Order: sequence, then structure tokens, then C-alpha cells
Amino acid sequence: MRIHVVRSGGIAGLRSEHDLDTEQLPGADRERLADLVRSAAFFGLAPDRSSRLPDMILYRVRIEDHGRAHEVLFDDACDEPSLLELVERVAELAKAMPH
Amino acid sequence: MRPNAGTPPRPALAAIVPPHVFAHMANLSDARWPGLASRGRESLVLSDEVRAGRCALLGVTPIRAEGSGAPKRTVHDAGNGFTLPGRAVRGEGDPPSGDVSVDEAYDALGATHRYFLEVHGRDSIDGRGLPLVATVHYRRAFNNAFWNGHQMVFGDGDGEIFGRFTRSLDIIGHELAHGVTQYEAGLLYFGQSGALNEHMSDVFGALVQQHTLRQTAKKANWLIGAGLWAEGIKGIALRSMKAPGTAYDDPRIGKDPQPAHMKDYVDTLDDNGGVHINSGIPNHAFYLAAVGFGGRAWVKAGKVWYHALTEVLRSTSNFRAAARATLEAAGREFGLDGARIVSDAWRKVGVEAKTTAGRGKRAKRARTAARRARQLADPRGAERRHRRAS
Repeated sequence: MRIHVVRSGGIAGLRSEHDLDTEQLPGADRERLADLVRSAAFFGLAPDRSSRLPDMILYRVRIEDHGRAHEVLFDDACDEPSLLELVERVAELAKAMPH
Repeated sequence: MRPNAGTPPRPALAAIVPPHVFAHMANLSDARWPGLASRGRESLVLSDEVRAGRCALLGVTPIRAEGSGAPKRTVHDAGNGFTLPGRAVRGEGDPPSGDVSVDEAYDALGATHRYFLEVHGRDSIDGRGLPLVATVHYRRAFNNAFWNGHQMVFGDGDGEIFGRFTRSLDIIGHELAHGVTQYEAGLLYFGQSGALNEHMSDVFGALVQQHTLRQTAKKANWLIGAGLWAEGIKGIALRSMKAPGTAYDDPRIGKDPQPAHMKDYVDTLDDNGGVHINSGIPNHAFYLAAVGFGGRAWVKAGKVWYHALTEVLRSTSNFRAAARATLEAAGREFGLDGARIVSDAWRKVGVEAKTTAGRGKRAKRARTAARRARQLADPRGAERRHRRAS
């Protein structure tokens, strides 16, 4: 599974991007990410779940898995904790990966 | 202030001594007037009781005391969790808690409330004394501060990129101003209207800071979020209204992307259409207008922008509409010289308040608006209109 996250907005308006191939991860991390994607029912989510509230950090997440691809926009006001954990974990894991 | 659909009409408070006088008395600690503070506190309680009693007699639901002028602050602690608002740790009039984030938030909410009341006669976010609610220590190492439609929320920062967000008075003013915009123009948070929403928060955040420090436009630093970057980050602030695009440049966070002119406007889908990026354009126009007027920025430029926000702009307004609204307000308040200062400021950032280009209904409407702006800017035009009307 490939996960691409673009983070933008927040009061500072900073932008960052992370790309992760879960096949490169240790089993436990790979499983946890797969669980989060399943638990959020990611491939069935509406493409735009952003709240348009001021200064929220905005996430654009694209996931490709077994020939399927889906992109979802959401922010910190999101009521789906799996999505917020997903972007936090992707950022941590992508930073820890060798470049 | 414009009336909000769905909200009750502003109730009149029938009292000879306004409650904010009692509130001021209640806070006095001057040895020359012993007993005044306690009498103020008693009167406040009494006036609340009278208000409640009056409602009971009339058989109506008690209304919130309006126009009392006293802030009603509560600062909560989220304990690094996700739940809002969290545990209340400092209420109005409580002594300092000893937690630096709590006390900074409390003081800054007070300074922001004082600015809006003293300068614009506005009592709190909604103009009707809405309690001010803030939460600190939200999530763990959270790199953000935001207004969620009901309250302000501040993270501690991760210590690598950001320090705690309550350090900056203008950032707290910025968040509270998002609340004011929500109750007034309701600028949609996307594209140009979203950049104007951000711009208004930067303007009033900066003015809260300048008002608290009693600075002139010339002396002020015009920085938003100075001191928020963690040690080692190459940057002086999140944004600069004086020189957009120069606030930071560091390999860990990139370079400040704010333009100062329409020719550099950034088209993007990120950041809700670049709301924190393109706000640099109107921000710089405000700076130029404030310096053009001279003196203290809140006296003239602040008054003009506040009028635009509360009386003219609508949810889908764009930069040109903001230029037109501020030009009209400047003309009305400060005559031709005022209109010229504001017009020059917008022209320097590439936004024309008037247009003569194009055909069709839109261009005709724009030409009519520009003509009206010029007429309003001309005091002789106002006299002529007055004569015609009478």
C-alpha cells in the first residue's frame, strides 16, 4: 500500500509532504496502518471532509492499494480518530525511513 | 454591527450606571478609595439580581447581560488530550494559576477584549458579551492554535519547530478575531474570501498588540507570531505585514511563501486555496494604509477596516470588494485624503478599488461601485447628495 500525505494550513500555513510504501515497513507498523485505513473505511469516504474552520491543519491523503486509489481531504476538526492517527503515524514513519 | 439572522434583537439594558463601571470598580485596588472595589462587586451582583428579577416578573427567559463591558474569561486545560474544552483552571477574576500557558492565555484574552471594547465599542466576540473560552495544552506537542467556531485552542508546540502558542499576544488576538469575523462578515474560509478572513485576524491581532504596547504604526514591528519559532529555527515570526515573504527561511520549514502583490498571487488547492499565503497581499495594503495615516494604527486604519468587516463585507467578498469597502469607509470617515491613502495602499499591492475595463453587467456594476467610492471620498459629493435629499 502507498500512502501520500500533504499537510498544509494551520496558523503558520506550513506545507509538508510525506510518501510511504508500507511494504518497506516492519510487520507491526504495516499492520497498524492497514488497520487504521480499514477502521476509517477510507475507500468509502467522501473526498472532501474539511470543516473550513480557521487555522485548522489540513490533510490531503491519497492511498493506492491493490489497484484501487482514493484521495480524501480532511482537517483537525475531523471526527474520525483513525484518520488523525493515520496522518500522525505516516509522518513519524516517513521521517524515520532512510532516504 | 449588523444584525445576525437567527439571533434575538439586541436588548436594551435599562440602567443608569452601566455594569462595566461596576466591573471596573470591582477590580480597583487603589488605597485612595478603600471600599470602592467591594461596593463595585456588590453592585454587580445586585444588578445581575435586578436583571434576573425583572425577567422573572415579566415571565420571560433571562437574557445574558449585554454590554456589561467586563470580560468573562475561562481558561481550560486539555491535559494534552483531544477533549475540548477540558478542565476549567482559571475563571474570571481568579488569581494567576502558576501555569504559564494558562496565565498568558488569560491575560491575552483580557487585552484583546479591552482592545475591541475601548477602540470599537464592541463587547466581546459577538458584541453581546459572549464568554471567552480558551483551552491550553491541547494534544501532545501540538503545533497549532485555532478557533473551532466556539472557542480558542492552543498547543504547546513540539519544541523543535514551535514553542507554546500562548507566548504571542497577537496570535491570541488573531484567534479571537476569527470569532468576530464569524459573527460579522462570515468570510468563507477558501480562496480570496478565506485570505481576507486570515487578513482580518492578522490585522486585529497586530492592533491588539500595538494597542497594548501603545505603539505607533511607525514603531510597531508588524510581525505576526514573533517568538513562536523554537530555538534554532531561522525566522523572526510566522508572517510580516511590513515585508510579506521575509518572516522565515529555514531548511526544516521552508521559506515564507507570502506575496506582497497581486502579480505573485499563489493559486493552490492546499491551505484552503492559500488562505495563509495570499493574505500577505491585503496585509501589506493595511500596513501601507496605517503608515500612510500615521500615528496609532487603530485610530484610523483600524477603524476603517473594522467598519468594512462589520458593515460591508459578505461571506464571498474578494480582495477588490475589500479595497472598495475600505476606500468608501476611509472617504466617509476621513475625507478625500483618507480615501487617497487607502486607494494608494491597495494600488501598491496591485488591487484596484475601481475598474473601467470590460463590458457587460459585472463591469458595469464595478464601474458604478467605483464611481460611488469616488463620490463618497469627495466631501463635496456628500453635500450635493444631502442637498438633493432635502
